[in-house]
Parts: sequence; structure tokens; C-alpha cells
Amino acid sequence: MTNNLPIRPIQTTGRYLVLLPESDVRSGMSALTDFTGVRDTDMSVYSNLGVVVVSLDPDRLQSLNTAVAGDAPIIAAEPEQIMYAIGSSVSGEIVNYLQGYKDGVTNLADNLGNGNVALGEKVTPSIFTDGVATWGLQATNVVDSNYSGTGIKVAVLDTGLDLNHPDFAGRSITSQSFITGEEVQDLQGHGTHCIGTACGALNPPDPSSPMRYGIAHNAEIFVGKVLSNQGSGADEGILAGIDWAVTNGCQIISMSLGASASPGTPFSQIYEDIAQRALSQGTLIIAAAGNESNRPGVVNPVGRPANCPSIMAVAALDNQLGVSWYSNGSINPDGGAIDIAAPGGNAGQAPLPEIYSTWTTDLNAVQPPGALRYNSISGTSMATPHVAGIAALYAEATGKRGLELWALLMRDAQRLPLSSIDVGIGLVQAPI
Amino acid sequence: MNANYWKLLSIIIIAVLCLAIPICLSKNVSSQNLLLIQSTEMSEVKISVSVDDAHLTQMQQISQQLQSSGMNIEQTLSSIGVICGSIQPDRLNSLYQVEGVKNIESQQGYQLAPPDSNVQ
Repeated sequence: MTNNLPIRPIQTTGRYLVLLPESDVRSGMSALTDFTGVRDTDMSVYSNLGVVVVSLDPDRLQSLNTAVAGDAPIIAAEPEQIMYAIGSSVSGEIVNYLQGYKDGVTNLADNLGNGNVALGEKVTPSIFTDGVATWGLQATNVVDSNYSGTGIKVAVLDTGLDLNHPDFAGRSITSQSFITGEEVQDLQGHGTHCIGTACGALNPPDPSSPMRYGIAHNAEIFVGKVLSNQGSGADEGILAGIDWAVTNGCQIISMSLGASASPGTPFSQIYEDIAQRALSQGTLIIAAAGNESNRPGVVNPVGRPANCPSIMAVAALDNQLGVSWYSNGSINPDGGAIDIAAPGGNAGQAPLPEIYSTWTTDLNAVQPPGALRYNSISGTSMATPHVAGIAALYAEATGKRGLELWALLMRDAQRLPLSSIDVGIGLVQAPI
Repeated sequence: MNANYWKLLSIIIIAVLCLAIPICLSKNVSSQNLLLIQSTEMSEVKISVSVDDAHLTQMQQISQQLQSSGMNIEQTLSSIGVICGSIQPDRLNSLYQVEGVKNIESQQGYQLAPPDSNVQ
């Protein structure tokens, strides 16, 4: 876009857009008449939108402002602006009009009652480093959020949880194993790591290094063991875990698991069926996009079941907000899309660091690295619980569920100067 | 030739047959024949069956009908409308005849990277 023309002031029409309560437009119109003297017949009324357009003399403007500021059923008012169709070449002045109009609409929309969720300061692409909180919690603005996931049930379907880990003491934990012959107790580590990210403590009680690593620190944790202590699982256990979470009223299901999909492979119709049913019952399923890629040369498709349209697929970013080298992309048409991105770490390649969270402290963990209080690893597995934890914050903040919750996460994501094939809508952001 | 002769002869013939048949089979065993033998035992495949919206309230009935059609039922998941189990491959088609069946898929497995991997 060129910007060679002088920028003129925003052009207004002399009329005003007035926002009235959707449920009682008539009261709003009466109040408008009371304050400004404008009669019903001189108003252009859009009752489905709760918007009225009126001409006002400048001396009536103060009355309108008084009405907006007070208790009257008049929510907001903005000057009506002139709009232009967007031609093939957009001049600077048109860009300015559109920016001004966009600001006006955003202002109106904010007043429409979106749960009074405000966004924090825009996070600029810079280098995040672990500090008081992990770089992941900084990049997603979790550190500035006042929400905790209170009243929200987050189910993590994975290798279970180390039920003896000191960082989870006092938490509400409901658990169930779907692996024949194994208890919920996590002897692998992956599950404990993911639950730490999604739901870890606000003030971790580690005397040596109390860095915050968890998001929905007051959510009710539902642990579904659908992967064995060897990290293996099958559809039957995973589907049973999903059914259990939905039956228990969990608003969020986090699945850091998947099987690789080949180019051209369609998504599972059955997982799509159940994901749609879960959404309609108020459960949002969030899954890892998969780690089969080797960028820049090799980008593989989003794996199963994240490739279902009704499952939110999460890509991984490094601490400079670049795409992690292993993170899959939206290769397969008809499903298979990356929806959103979150901190996942760059797995030993620069830029570092990785994702720090809890690990299993159980001495029966036989595979290396064995029992640890914390561990730093990378993967779309780590990105996924960032989205799940933040989804829980939104669920608490707004009362929204299912597809509406999906929409909020997408609406407020920070757009990145990267391809949507790689990062979807962008970097997930927490509600403030 | 008395009865004992015939008795002895039949025992010898049976013994020879018992020895000969396995030997002939083992001589001719190639990988193809092994597959042939194994397929006669028909191992079951693990499947998931989703039920359509109209029949979501009849999960138990559908489960029973699937069972009658040869499916071994492992899980009937009523909140999401899926029934998991196993079946002999040659009986798969009959499941599609059960009213309310929407999709049938074979189950897949999942395997995490080792816990000391950089990428997980």
C-alpha cells in the first residue's frame, strides 16, 4: 500500500450512532428523546442491533454525552463516518478512514458486554527469558492475568499425574486410569509436565527455584490416564477418557498426543463426530498438532486427532516467537489445519530455552531421566496445555463454553508476521 | 487274515497318516502357506463405532445389536456416542446393517517419544 497522498481528517456526517440496550431498545429511544429532544420519527432505528442513528445539533452533543455517562439506558455514542469501498489500490487517506472506523467499531464492540475482558499490553515479538515466571507465561500474558480457572474443570488425557508431587498439594484432583493394569500414578513424566503447564500452582513451593510455570492455578484438575507408563495408548482408552471428561462436565480437554498423518490422509470421522458432540455439551478439546516436521525443509501434516476441524490444533513457537523446527503445518486440505500457536520450545536448537514444568518424582519411573521435581522439554505437547490453561481462564472470565470459547481464543490471539499455515491465528493470549 | 491282522494294519495306516500329513505340510510350508493357516484362525481387529445423532439415546440397544452381529463390546461411551470393541474382519459388513451406525473405523495406536527426548 502506498501512502503518498496527504492524510485528510476523518470525515463525519454530522449524525451519531447511538448504542442502546439490545433487550430494551424502546427505553433507550425514550431516554434519547428525553436527553436530546430528538423524536422517534427522526431516528433511524436498527432494533436487531440495538443501534439508532440520529442527527444532532452541536448544542445537543453535550446532552448526548451526559446520557451516555449516566445511568440512562444509552450505552455509547460515536460520530457516523463516511466509508469507502476498497479499490484495487488503497490510498493513505482511505487507510486512515478505515483505521478510524475500526477504532470506532472496536469501541462499540467492547461495550457490548464481552464479559468485560480487556487485553493486556500488546506483546511485541522480542526475546522472552525465564524469570519470575517461565518465558511461556510471559509471552502469553498469563503473568498479567487476574484469572485462575476457578470453577473450571480441566481434563488432561495423558500418562497420568504424579499424585505425590508437592506442587499439587491441596489441589482438587479427580483421576481415572484407562490403561488396563496401570494406576493413574504417572511413572513416565509427560502427563505431570502437561498438567503443570495447564494448571500448576501460582506460587510453586520449591525453596530453591520458585519460578511460576502453571496457568489455571485454581482449576479443578481431572487426570485421565490414556497413555501407559511406556507412553503407549490406543483409541479405545482415549475415547473412554474423552467420554469420562464430558460426562464429568469438564469444560476443557487437553490432549498432548497424536499419531502422524500422511499427506492426503483425511481426518477421523469418529473423532470429528465426538468433538462436535463435546462442543455442543460445552467441552472444548485442544490437541497437539504433532512434532513430525524438520523445518525449514520438511513440514508434515497435522496429526490425528488434532487434524479434525472440531478439535483445536496447537502449533509450537520458540521464545523469539518463531515456529519451532519440529512443529507440523496445515498441509492437508479438508481439515488438518493449525488453529493457534503457543510456547513449545525449540528442543535443543537455538533459540533456547525450553518449557519448564513439573515432572514425576516417583522413584519407580524407570525410563531416563527418571524421577525429577521439574524438567524442561519441548514439543507441541508443551504448547497444547498453554492453550488449555488459558482457555480455562477465559471460561472463568466470560462464562463462555464450547465454540464460543474457541472464538474468544481466536479473537484475542496475537497475530504474528508468520504464515497461518504454520501458526494458525497466532500466539494465544490470556484474558487480563 | 484274521481280525488281529486288520487291526494291526489299520493302526499302521493311521500311524503313517499321522506322521505323513504333518511332514507333507511342513515340507510345503512357505510364507504364503503360513499366512493361509493363520488366516483360518481369523484374528480380530479393534474398531470404534460411532452412533448417529438420532440414536444417541439408544446406546445400550445399539450395543446389543452390534454384539448380536458379532462384535465383542469393550466400551459403550454414552456421552460421546461411540462403542469400542473388536470383531472378525469378515463380519465387519454386517455391522453397517445395524440401524443407527454412523461411522466404523479401525483403532489406531499412539506412542510418545521416550521421556528423555528433546521433543515430546
